[in-house]
Amino acid sequence: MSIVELVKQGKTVVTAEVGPPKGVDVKELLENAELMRGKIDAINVTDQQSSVMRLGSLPVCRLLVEKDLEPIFQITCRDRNRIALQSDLLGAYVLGIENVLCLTGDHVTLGDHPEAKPVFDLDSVSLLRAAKELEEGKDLSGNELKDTPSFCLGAVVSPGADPLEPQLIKLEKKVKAGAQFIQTQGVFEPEKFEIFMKAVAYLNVPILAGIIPLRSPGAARFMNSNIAGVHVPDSLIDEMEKAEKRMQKGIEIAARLINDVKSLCQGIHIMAIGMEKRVPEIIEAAGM
Amino acid sequence: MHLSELAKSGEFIITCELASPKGVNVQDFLDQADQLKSYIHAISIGDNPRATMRAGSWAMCHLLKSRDIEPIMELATRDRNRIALQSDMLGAAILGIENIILSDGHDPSVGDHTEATRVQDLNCISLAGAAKTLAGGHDMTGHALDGTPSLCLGITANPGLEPLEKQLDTIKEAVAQGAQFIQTQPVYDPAVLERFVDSIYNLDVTIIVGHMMLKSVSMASFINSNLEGVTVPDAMMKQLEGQPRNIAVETSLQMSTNLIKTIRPLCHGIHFIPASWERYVPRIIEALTDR
Amino acid sequence: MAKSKETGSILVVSNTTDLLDMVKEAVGNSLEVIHASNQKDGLEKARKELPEVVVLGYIEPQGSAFELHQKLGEGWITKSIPLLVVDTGPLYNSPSVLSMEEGLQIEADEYITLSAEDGRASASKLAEPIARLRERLSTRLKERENIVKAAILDPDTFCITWEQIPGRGAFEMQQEDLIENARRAARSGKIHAVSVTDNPGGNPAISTEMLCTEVKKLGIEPLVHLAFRDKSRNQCESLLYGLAGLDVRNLLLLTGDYPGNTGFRGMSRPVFDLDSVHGLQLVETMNQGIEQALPSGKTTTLAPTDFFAGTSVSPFKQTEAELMGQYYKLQKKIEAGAKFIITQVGYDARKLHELLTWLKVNGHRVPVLGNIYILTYGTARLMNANGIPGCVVTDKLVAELDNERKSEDKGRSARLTRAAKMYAMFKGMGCAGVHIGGHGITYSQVEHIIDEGEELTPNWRDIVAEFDYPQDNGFYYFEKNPADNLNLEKPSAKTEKPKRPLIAIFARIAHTLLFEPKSPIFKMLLPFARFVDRSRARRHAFLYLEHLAKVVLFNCQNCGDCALFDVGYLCPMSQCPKNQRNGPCGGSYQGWCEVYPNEKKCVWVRAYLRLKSYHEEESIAENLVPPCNWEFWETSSWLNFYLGRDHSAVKMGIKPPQDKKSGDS
Repeated sequence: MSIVELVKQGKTVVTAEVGPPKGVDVKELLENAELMRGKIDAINVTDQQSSVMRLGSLPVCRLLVEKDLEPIFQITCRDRNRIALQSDLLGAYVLGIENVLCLTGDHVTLGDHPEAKPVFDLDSVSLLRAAKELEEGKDLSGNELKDTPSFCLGAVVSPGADPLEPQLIKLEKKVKAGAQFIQTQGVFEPEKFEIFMKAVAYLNVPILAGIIPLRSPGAARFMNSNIAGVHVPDSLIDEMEKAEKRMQKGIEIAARLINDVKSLCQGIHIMAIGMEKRVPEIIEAAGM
Repeated sequence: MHLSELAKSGEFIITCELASPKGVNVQDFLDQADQLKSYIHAISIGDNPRATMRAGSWAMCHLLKSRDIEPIMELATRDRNRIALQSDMLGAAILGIENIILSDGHDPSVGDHTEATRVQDLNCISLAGAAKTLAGGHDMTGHALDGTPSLCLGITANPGLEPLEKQLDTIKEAVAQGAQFIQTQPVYDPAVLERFVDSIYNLDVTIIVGHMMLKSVSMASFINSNLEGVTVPDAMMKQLEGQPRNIAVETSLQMSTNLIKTIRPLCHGIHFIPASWERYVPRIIEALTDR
Repeated sequence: MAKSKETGSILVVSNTTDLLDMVKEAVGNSLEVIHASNQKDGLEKARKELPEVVVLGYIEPQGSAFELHQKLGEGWITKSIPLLVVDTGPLYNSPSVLSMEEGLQIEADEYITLSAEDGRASASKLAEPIARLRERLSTRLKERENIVKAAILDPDTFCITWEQIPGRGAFEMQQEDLIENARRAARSGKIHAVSVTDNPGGNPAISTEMLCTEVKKLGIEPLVHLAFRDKSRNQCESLLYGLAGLDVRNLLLLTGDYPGNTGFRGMSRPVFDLDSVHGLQLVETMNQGIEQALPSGKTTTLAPTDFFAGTSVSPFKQTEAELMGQYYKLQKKIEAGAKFIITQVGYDARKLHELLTWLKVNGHRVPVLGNIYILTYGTARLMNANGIPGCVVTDKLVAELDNERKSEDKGRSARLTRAAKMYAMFKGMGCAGVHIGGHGITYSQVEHIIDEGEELTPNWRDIVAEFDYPQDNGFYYFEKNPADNLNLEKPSAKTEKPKRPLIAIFARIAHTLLFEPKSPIFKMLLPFARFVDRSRARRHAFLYLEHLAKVVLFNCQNCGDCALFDVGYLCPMSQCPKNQRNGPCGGSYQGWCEVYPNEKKCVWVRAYLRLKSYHEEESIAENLVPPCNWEFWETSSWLNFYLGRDHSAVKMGIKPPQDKKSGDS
């Protein structure tokens, strides 16, 4: 079921992400996905996250469809031009993939193929627009399609960014271009998130708050200095430092954050990088 | 099933190209595939051929695979950088696609998205190299892979395109990088094919020759003026000349059958490019088998 | 084809005039160059102008050139026009006429690319393929040539058609035999057409149109009989479009026998919406291209058809009134566009010669196919007893056949020899051909007739005397030529007594007073008619009164498009079972109506005798009455007349009132 339909049912939508392996061994990934069955509504499959060459999002999404799990196909503009992007979107639909999260993508220099050519023929907004055009029966050049796909299009935003204004402008553009749901970057400050939610209420688009379970104080600090738009407050870092079982603590904090923000928005998106196996635990701890 | 292994088993390979839809209606595509299924060894799907955007070739290949039809997926360097190309090869492997034709693809200027960026981060030789590396368990930058794909790689060639030497260099390099089969543009003159085959006789590579039926004399003229390196000999033009439209079919099929019979000893297989004449492919194959 | 022009034309379809100019230079004055700039225009001009060659260049939007190429190739009319696709893309550095995908699918006759190197020599590069394609058209047209038309119109070819009689049922032997006959005829090449009767005797049978398209596939031209007994005008038109599309072009238009009594659960409803004169007009109009009104108020012309239509006539009538009706109607049929005539069944040599002489004397050059019906004794008896409408066999001939059947072969060879003699005689007299018919005839018998007939032809004059079968007191249009037992070119005296019954006198007076625009009463009645017409109640009351009066006097059927003036004050809707408005059908017998023999006189016999009493009988030949307009059904014909709506008003120049308000006031 598409994210939009899930939101319409009125409950808090829960999604979580999995990262495909570097290679063709998908055993563990499928195991992790299997653990999430019944506990979450859809699974995001990342697309060469951090510009590291991995198995692509699309084939993994297809594997999930075959296993009757609802995927969210993450597509980025870094590696493909408009021909390949549109072509992949059509292919995705043909193979039963409906939810598509459109991202611009990180720069190649961050990853393991720094010499790769950054394509960026489109960006997230124009990609959303292209997807929308496809839904309306035309490609980007206006050529007519034989039968049209229908997607549930998503986009991302960083509610913790400072200043917030540029993020809001971009978000409005994304919604206007066709985004039907939004997944946010990790949220660690519920108060700030509330302000953000008020600021975007007028867009009337379902928002899934990003939750990143902390593994360690170091991980928190790393995020603060390396991931734009993510800010873990010192109080949380302190809490982590004091904890005996850090992993447990991270899960506890994540559950707390979920409970703090879930009434403010339409859903939760758990990004348990490297901790995919713990996702059911987090959901349980949050009492969902 | 690797095409190269099939060739080594002594089978004369027959493949056919099908166009993936521009859009998401796959019914015609699947119907055509089902009709061809019992006649051919594999169906190949172009990667946004002639830079014209169509539904992803990997998706069509996967659909074929799930119908028990061996797919051949084209992967063009035009639309993707090395991250995506490698990633797509891994993806193809987990979706059961083993045969991949590597190509540079046509320039976006000839297609329907003339403003698209021509990526060309790699060319088909470096892509073959990348594929070889992946098969060896590493990516291009040397990072180890978790599980290695098993791929049979092919490249394209145009036996009639001059100068041949330049192409031969590419072919030799690609084969050195692990390319196992060559799929050619249509060849109407057996002498042209013979020269080409002779020039690569020492390479361990499977040669699959392209074949496009000639629907009319005007189509043949079109080929002569628009398909670089492909020439329909005068004798063939003469046979088609003056044939009333729509009635040239029998002549055309006979010409195709004769030509394929002639070139059969020179190659390992035939690759049909039907250009909307999918329905006649089985007839030729039938004519080829009952000698 | 209606649109024959002095010089042929070539159609250039391109979005700019560059290609047009090149083609002009290439063809010089040898062809008129027509230009179309888009797909719709191109298709329309290709269909209307029927160019010798279509040259297709780039048109907007991209892809429409390929679509046009496909449409031309599929079009019934356009598929035989050679098509040259020209890519001027490289020459002008402009978009190519076809994309690669399209180019690999073209089925045009030729394709050429003009490159920058061709430059100024481009026009000359076009000249050669255009010339080649023009030649191809002529061979293609030759394949399309209607050999029946050619045979009938060519004085040096004696056209032979063979009539097949289809039966009831889809899978019966009779239909198999018919197809087998057609196949043999096709193989022999001695016969020009196979004709198929349309519901013979007015009884249901497998459709002639469908069989004829099958016959066409066997490689011989079919001749479709089209009887108006069973088909309304709309159905005729739609059927004709179907035939045109399938390249079935030869038609024999007939009124048709009255429905037989074998219809499903009773006799079929007789249609007779058109008569054969109207049918010929319809075909002629279709051949010109029907003008069709569009909702926008503009008109468009449908692509012309290529029918070759003939009709039938019976010179074998006994009485003067019957025979004159035949000739008057024939006059109108010829004017309506009849291209050939096939005679009814009859065996009197002088009668057939009479028809030829009549045509000659009246300056009509319409070819005649003499009807050779291979007569058996049984059929002869039936015809003699007026069992088959319009077929005339005299007692003398029956007696001869009775004799012949006593021979060892039961009269078979005598029958064939009679047919061969007719062949010789007709050919000798100057017929354009013969139409051979008869039940259960095999191809070898037909061939025998042709061969023997050819042998006998040089001595045809000796045979004439054998075919002397006058009817009792039978009327001949011309005086007998004692020298050859045929006719002089001198009309004989018309002695049949005219009739002037009281009702006719009364009607004529009433007509002069009430319906002649010069009459003072007419002028008075005009405003009254307008007054009546303005109210529905008044219209109804008036219709009722008119109906009462006309039912009593004429048995009026309320058709609303009154033809009393045209038929000597006799109502063709009530008095003629076939509703004939332009003259008699061929079915009358000794002056009696085909449907009511010995009971009711033919309405046209009566009309002739009435008109003759005023010396106005010739008007039948001149007065071309249109078919009944069913829009007027159950309305007042008088109002329709005064208010300038019906055909009589149109003929007399009565205009509809300018300030006409219709409906309730």
